[in-house]
Order: sequence, then structure tokens, then C-alpha cells
Amino acid sequence: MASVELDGIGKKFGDVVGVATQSMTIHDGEFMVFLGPSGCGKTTTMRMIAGLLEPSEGRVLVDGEDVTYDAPKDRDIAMVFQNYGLYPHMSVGENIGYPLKVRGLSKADRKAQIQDVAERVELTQLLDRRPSALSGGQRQRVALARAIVRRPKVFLMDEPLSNLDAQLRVSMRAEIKHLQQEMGITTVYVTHDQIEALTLADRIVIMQKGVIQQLGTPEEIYNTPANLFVANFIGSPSMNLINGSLENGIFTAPGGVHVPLKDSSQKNRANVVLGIRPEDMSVCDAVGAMISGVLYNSEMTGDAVFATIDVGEARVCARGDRHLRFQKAQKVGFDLDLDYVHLFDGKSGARL
Amino acid sequence: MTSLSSGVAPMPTKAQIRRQRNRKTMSVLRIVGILLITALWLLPVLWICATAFKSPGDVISLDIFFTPTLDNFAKAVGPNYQLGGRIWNSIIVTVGTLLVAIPSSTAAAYAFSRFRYPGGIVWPIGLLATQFVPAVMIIIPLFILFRSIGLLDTPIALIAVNLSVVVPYAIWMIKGFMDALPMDMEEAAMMDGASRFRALIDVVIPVAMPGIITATIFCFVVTWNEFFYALILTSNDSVTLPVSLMSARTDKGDEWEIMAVIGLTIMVPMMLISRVVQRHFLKGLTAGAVK
Ligand SMILES: Nc1ncnc2c1ncn2[C@@H]1O[C@H](COP(=O)(O)OP(=O)(O)OP(=O)(O)O)[C@@H](O)[C@H]1O
Ligand SMILES: [Mg+2]
Repeated sequence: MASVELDGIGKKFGDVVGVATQSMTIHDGEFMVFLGPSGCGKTTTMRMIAGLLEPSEGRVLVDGEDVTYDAPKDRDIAMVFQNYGLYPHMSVGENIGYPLKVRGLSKADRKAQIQDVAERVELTQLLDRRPSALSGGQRQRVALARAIVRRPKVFLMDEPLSNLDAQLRVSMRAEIKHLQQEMGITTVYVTHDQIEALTLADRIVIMQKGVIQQLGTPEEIYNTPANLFVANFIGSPSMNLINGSLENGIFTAPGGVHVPLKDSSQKNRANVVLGIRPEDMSVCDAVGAMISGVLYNSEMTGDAVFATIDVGEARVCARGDRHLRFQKAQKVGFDLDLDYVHLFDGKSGARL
Repeated sequence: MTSLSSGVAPMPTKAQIRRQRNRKTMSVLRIVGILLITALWLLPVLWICATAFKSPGDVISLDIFFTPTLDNFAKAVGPNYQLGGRIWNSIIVTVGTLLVAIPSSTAAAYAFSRFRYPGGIVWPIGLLATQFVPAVMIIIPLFILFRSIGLLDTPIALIAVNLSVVVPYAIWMIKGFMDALPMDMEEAAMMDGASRFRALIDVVIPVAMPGIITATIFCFVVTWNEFFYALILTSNDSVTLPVSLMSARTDKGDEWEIMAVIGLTIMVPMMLISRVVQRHFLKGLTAGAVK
């Protein structure tokens, strides 16, 4: 049980900025997910929390105590590695029991605890095997068991599910969430899979190029993205972004886009990006629609139909009823749910 | 398998028969070839083995048949040749060298492999560069050095010299192996509560064992066979097996049968050890095979 605080932490590799100066607090018992594209500094940040990487600047605090220069072993933080990092020369049982062995527990005590954890992650049948004789999912569970066997203060997981197939990923995801809630251990979880992030997280940190773009609950991230990057990154298919201008509370863009905003107090601006998610639009008659254009493509996904139209230079996609059918090059109109219209500054990308 | 249901195997065609015969001839040829090469390699060894059991008169005859005798062995361990003492010296020098070389090379290899430090690759390369100096060039200075500190004709001098030869290679061999090990494992150990040293002992060394064993065999062979330094730096008390071969060259001529006995004593442990170690080595290889 512990809170983790990053205070102005940053890491440079020579001239390369791995993580720019960042601060954040992870609350006691919280499930925090680091989400971002490849190379954005997720792993680097996590390794600084772990103590495997010394930050170039700033401090790491666990429960208010400065641990920036403490060795990993003195932090009582457990980590699950992407490639599991299992010990190939030890049996599964020995792997799980290693943290206890290092702490000097007797063989009998270790055995009891190993048994206990193995039951939790359903490994009891495999305790005598070598890791090389396990499947990916089983190895993953061994790594998990090894991390929880000693009830650490903080749990770190670096893309723990990325080597598993889709189905296993879903079930392991539920297992991890369940374990975390049951044990109430502060957890930091790195992923670049947004579904994983949205389903697991209490709060999400979105990073790009070593900079935190937004920190918030999954709802906040999804419903009020702080900037264009987040808006574009979260959601599948991703949010429609239309370049245009704002005048007297009305957003207009080439191709006849005409959106009267709910909030008419917005200042007039020339360079504005309007964002709207496909599911926040309804397909309607082309005449008199807020957005209309020629059908570019329509896709049936089973539970819905996604219609994409060409509007000026933009391509806009809307989610429609699954019974909708379109003709080639048909003129289609979309109406926007004005409660979910997002506006961003075209230059800085910040939310307006 | 259609032939199974009909119960009759199809007759092989002529071409098939020819191909089969060709394959048979090939495999016979191959076995003969292997035997020939093996014989070529083993003949001198067998000859030495035989010579060790021959009486002096039989040694120079080319007869394959002779009455075996153990006289040569009795003579070799006797006061003239002191084979027992020579074996002991060789064991002390070899074991002493390995005991220092392997742990220190492992530690150095780990440091070279994992830490960043000013100079970088210059250090391990510099270490290897010491081996570019021919032994004949430094033997005189070494002789004078050991004489002045009173270590001439002692196992310590030989151990020191052997270390200087063996350690650079051992470091490079083990380093290569460690470079290929993923960092995950030792980082996992450190996260699990181990110090770096403990992670080295518990995880890195066991997993790097095949590499360490390879280096050990190499060091063993080099040290056990080392002749030149031992020849110059020892005279009486600390003479090792390879040098003692020389003592069979007397003014009355070369005593081939004694040389054969000593040669056998040099070869047998090497063969035994590589056999035992080979088995370990293979086990280590498979144990390390997990990603
Ligand atoms: N040891 C290193 N030396 C130099 N640059 C590094 C090093 N480690 C990371 N970097 C750089 O720092 C940046 C952040 O890397 P990091 O591994 O944290 O990314 P990540 O978000 O975990 O990406 P991924 O999703 O691919 O794992 C990258 O640009 C990377 O190239
Ligand atoms: Mg990463």
C-alpha cells in the first residue's frame, strides 16, 4: 500500500530526451495506466519508478519518502516484464518463491506461500516444470505470481499481455484487474493498447514524445480529450477532425459544413479544429444536414454500419444503424450530437 | 497409403533401386571416410599408448605384436623421473590457475558486459592486446623479475604467468556469452529483492554456465599443456608434466617409452575431463534455452 509521486522527473539518453520533466501522483491503491505510442517514454518512466534507471533530474517518492537513489531491492516494488524475465534454470515453484528466498524465508514458509499464490493464478499443477516447458499465458501467470507473492507496496507491469493472443489477453486482463482490486496494491501498468487502458485503469496517463498529454479517468480521457493528440489517439475508429473556422458561435468548414454550437460564447477564430466521434453523429438526409458529402465507403461491422463521406478536403466517418444500406456515390448527410462536439485550437492543438 | 489397402507394396522401379544403391554406396563411403580420418587422428595416440607398454627393445621395432610390460611406469615414478611429483605440480598449477582465473574472469566479464564506464570497449580490447606480445619477448624480463622476488621454480610463478595468458581469453569468452543474455532476468532478480551481486550469483552465473564451462575447458587445456614458460621458469621443484617430457632426453639417447608414459599422463586427464564436462555443457545449454 503506497502512493507514488514523480516530482519533476526526467531522463535524457545523451541528447535524446526519453522523458521530459514530468510530475504526477499515483494514489494509494490506484490502478494507473501509462498509454501512448511506441517510444513515448512509458517504459523509461516505469523503470525510473522501479529504480532500474536513474533519472537525469527530479525525484521519485514512495509514500512521501524520497527513493530516487535507492536500489530496486530497497523499494519493495514488484515488476512484471514484457518478456516475463523468468529464471530458466529454476522450476516454476522456485521462480515464484525467489522473492521470498531472497528475503530469507524458510523453505516451509516459502512452500506454503507459493502454494497459496499458485492457487490464485491456477498454476498448482505446473510448479515442478521449467519455464521453457510452459505456454506464453502460463509464463505470464508465473511472472504475475512471482510479483504478488510478497505483497509489494507497488506493482509495475510493462506491457504484460502484449505477447499473448487476443483471447488470452481478454481473460488475463480480467484476472489482473480482479487481483489488483482484491489486493488493493497500487499499480502502474504500461500499454499501447487503448482498450486495455480504458478497461483496466482508474486513471490513465497519455504520453507522447516524453510529455504527458493528459492525466484523467477513462471517462475524462474519452469524453473531454485535452488536446488533438489525445482526441486522435483514443477511440476506434478515431475521432473525426475537421479544420474550419468559428464565427458567431457557428463552425464552418469547406464542403458546406455548418455546425451551430451549443456554447455560443466561444470567440471568433480562424483556425479551429472540430472533433466529433463517429458514434456521436446520426446519418440523415443530405439536404439540410450539418455535414453532407458523397459517400466514400461504408463498412458493416456486424453491430453497426460505418459510413465515410468526403467533405471538402476531410473524410468524416459516422456510426449508423446496422440496417442502413447505401448506394455507390450516394449523397449522405450527418447530424451531430452537439453535446459531444469538441473544439481544438488549430495551432496549439489545445482544447478550447 | 494406397498400398496398405491393397496389401501389396508397389514394385520399386529400376531407377529407385539404383538410387537406393547409390545411397547405400554413399553411406558406406562416408563411414569409410570417417574411419580413415579418425584413424589418422588416433594413430599417433594409439602408438603412444602402445609404446608406453613396450620394453625398450620393442620400441624401435615396427612389429605390431609385443609383450606388454609395466616396467616403464615403474621407472617413470622412480627417482630419475619423479612422475608423481610432476603430476602433483601440474595439478597445483592448473587448479591454482583455474581457481583464480574463472571467478575473476566471470566478474570482469559481467562488469565489461553490463556497466558503462569511460573508455568503454578500449579496456577489454587492451586486455586482449596484451596477448599480441610474443612469449619469447617477455620471458627474459619475467625470468629476472621472478628471480629477484625469489619466485623462480615455484608454482606461484607459473600460476601468475598462466593467469596472464588465460584471463584475457576467458573474459572475452564469458563476456560474449553474457552480452547475449537478456537483461530481463537479472533486473527481475533485483526487483525481487536481490542485490546486484546476489542477482549475479543466483541468476546470471547459472544461466551463463555453458559459457563459463567453455572458458574453463579452454583455460584447463592451455594451462595443463603450457610448456614454454614452465621450461624457463622451473628447474627442479616445480617442473610440470610437459617439461618433464624433456627429461627423457638423456645423453644415452631419447627414452621413447618413458616419453610415451608421460605423454599418456598428460593426455588422459584432458580426455576424461572433456568427456565429463561435455555432458554438463550440453545440459547447461538446454537449461539456458528459454526466452
Ligand atoms: N538506453 C537508451 N538509450 C538511448 N535512448 C533510449 C534508451 N532507452 C530508451 N531510449 C529512447 O527513449 C525514448 C522512450 O523510450 P521508451 O522505451 O520509454 O518508450 P516506450 O514508450 O516504452 O515505447 P514502447 O511502447 O515501444 O515500449 C525512445 O525514443 C527511445 O528511443
Ligand atoms: Mg516500452
